[in-house]
Amino acid sequence: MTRLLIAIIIGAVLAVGGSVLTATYLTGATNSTPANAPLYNYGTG
Amino acid sequence: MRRVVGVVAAGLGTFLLVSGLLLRFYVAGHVVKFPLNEYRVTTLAGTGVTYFSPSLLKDVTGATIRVTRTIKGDVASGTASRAVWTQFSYSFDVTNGVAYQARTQRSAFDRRTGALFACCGETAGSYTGRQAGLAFTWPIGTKQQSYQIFDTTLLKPLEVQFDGQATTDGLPTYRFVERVPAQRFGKQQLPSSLVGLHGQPTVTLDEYYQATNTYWVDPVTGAVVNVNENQKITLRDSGGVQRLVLFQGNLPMTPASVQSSVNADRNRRAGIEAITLTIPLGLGVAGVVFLAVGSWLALWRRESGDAPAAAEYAMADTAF
Repeated sequence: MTRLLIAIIIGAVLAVGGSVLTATYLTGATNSTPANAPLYNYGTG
Repeated sequence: MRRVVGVVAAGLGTFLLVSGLLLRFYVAGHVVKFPLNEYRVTTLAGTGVTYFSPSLLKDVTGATIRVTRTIKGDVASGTASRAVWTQFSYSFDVTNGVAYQARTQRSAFDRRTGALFACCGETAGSYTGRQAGLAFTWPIGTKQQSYQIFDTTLLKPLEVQFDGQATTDGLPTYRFVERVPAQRFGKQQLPSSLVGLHGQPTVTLDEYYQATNTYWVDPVTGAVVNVNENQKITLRDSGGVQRLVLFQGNLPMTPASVQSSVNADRNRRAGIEAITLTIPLGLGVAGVVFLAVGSWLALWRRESGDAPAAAEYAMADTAF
């Protein structure tokens, strides 16, 4: 029973840590510099 | 051995279950929002447009107008909850090869609701006052209800009504319509001869604006994937008589732009659905199964004839 509880706690702690890292990583992906795009020559298209 | 496998499975199950819950209720809240680094170009094109050309100083009729809108995010001005995007809108008369209008709109808005608020150098043309309502996006999780949208001609929020569900290039969308009855929004002074009035060199006329603007919105992402702007701007005298048409035309988004908007939106929609539904659900189900089976393996004891397992269990508990 004790080993089971320890395994459950470790699983929960790892999940919390992984979620925080995931949130940090994915948030950074939308905060970067605007993507480079071909310059559009207005009036020529 | 069975007990060890059970303990490991229970730990793994807890990890999956908690990860699924946190992905849905913690990670999604941090990640599912409008990006700071937006960049997109859309084009509207209308035929048979009538407008008064400031460069040609005459009425132009039957023109094909192409409006190119470029939206670019100002990352440096954004925060975790606020995005600042700038839209440059350039109108070009393809028929006569002359520019018609160029306008800039810079707005700050909530990264989940799309609602505008004051922050850092908002503009709409030369207007630098308060902006309210929606501008570039609808809320993430758009509902079938009326919203307020900031009208850049009248410079105030106007109601835009839900008008039904639609399908845009295979994408389920909500259609919203902004109906603006003719209303005065400014004055212009111009040579009397331009409007057929004589007796004085200049005349001041009232500017009137009326429009029916239709927006097709992906309710999951809040992205506008198609738009149709039918607008009329006129100059009227004090008696309400129309003296000059400054602009009259219907400007739908080009099919290529609609397709491009839908394609970009599909990726965003898939990401949102994955992080708010598919992955959390999968993790949760797998977690419950692993946790249940693992716990059963770790705790289950045979009532009889399994003395070795009972002994193993007793020894394991004693060891802790």
